[in-house]
Amino acid sequence: MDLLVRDVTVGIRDGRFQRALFQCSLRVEGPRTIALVGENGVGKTTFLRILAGFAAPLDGSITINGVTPSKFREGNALGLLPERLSLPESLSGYDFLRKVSLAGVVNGRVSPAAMEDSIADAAVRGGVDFPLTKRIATLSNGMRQRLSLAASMLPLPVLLLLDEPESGLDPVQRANLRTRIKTMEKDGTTVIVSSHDISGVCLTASELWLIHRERLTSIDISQCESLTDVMSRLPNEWRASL
Amino acid sequence: MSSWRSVSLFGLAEIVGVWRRSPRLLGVLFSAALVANGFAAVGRAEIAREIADQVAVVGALVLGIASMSGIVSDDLQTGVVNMWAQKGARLRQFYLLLFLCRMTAILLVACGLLALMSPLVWPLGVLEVSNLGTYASYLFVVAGLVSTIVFAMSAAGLPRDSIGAVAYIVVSTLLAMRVATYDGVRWEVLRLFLFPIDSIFAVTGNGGLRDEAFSPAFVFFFQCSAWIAFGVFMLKRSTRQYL
Repeated sequence: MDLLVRDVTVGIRDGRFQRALFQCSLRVEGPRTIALVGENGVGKTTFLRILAGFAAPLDGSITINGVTPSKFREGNALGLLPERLSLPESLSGYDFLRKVSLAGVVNGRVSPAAMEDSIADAAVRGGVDFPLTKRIATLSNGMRQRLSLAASMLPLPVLLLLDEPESGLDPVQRANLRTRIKTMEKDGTTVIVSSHDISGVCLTASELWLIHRERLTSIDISQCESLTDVMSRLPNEWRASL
Repeated sequence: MSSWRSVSLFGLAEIVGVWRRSPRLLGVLFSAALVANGFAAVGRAEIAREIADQVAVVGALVLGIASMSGIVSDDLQTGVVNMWAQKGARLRQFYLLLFLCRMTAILLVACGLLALMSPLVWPLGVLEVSNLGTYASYLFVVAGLVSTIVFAMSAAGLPRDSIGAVAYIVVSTLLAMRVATYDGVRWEVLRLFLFPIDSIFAVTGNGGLRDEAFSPAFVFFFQCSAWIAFGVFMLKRSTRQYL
């Protein structure tokens, strides 16, 4: 996968309009796991929405494999786990995954024959270890989070955007999620995980994207073995803010 | 890959989903139709007719509202619309397809109700064939129109779309009855946008409040088209706002 961010300026509206990023450029080639970190309200979610093609930058351009994010999304190669997602409680886990899968089928992006395999595969990748026949209304927050994660991986995406995926998970599930993210990178998926908690995501990622004072900076942390290593690579002003 | 097969698969899942979402409502409607047969079988023809009337009248309204409720607005409120959009679904087409699936489900339920009430015509002989025809036209037309109103309200992102639809039906019916005797082009045009109580009376063979300028068929067609067009227009705005 080739993700190119060129001179992008992003605005967010939080009561009043403010600029989140100013003329930022980045390039990602090949499958990577990237941690997108920054303080609350710096524009992480907005940036992910722009990468997903749900919003446009104020200026600059973003291309994924040579096409705009919205075109890329239409190819059903994108997965997005939004931060706020309430699943339809009347459905069973299987019905929900099936309906998400059918959204791709209707658009002609998935063959019906491949759909069932795709659901089973996504359930495993998402860590769904409970019966899919259970109604969503009876699932715990952690189970719902894993079901949502599975839904975002229907079918296995080329680019997976996870917005605060660890919220609602216990420590064991968080560790499992990190293991699954690493597996996805090995399978060829580029994963971008947003979090305001650098300690939670930096050990999973090979690259760190920091949003601070309207700048987006990439730091290679693939060789870091501990949080102390990662922190030592950060400029002082960022260390203080994180 | 056959796109027809994909769409059929999707449609079937959605139709079954409508039935699974409202099992109690459907249970009550189908049971009431069976009870009417029971009363007819023991010679209580008046009660059987009364129940059959209520199944058609109440059933059409409730079926139209319950089947279409939350079709878009639930997805917008919960954020699930993100899941459809990220899988490459074009949202207007996607929701229009859902709308058609749910209309089909309504049609099938209406056919089921009519089939259950058909013994009242033969062998029980409590109703005439024309009565069953009136029930059929009422069920199809009113349930269809009410469901398009709910769809449009839901597409506009109204969280309580069914309450909004009921409020519109009640208020515009009262207004329609108030302006029923007013003559003039502008009143005729206004009546086109109100819940067509006169046309419903005409469909059920009860006679309207006045002589209508437009035929009931035209009024229903116009209203369904207008509500669907409004829903499609609002879909573009509401989905963009929530994504």
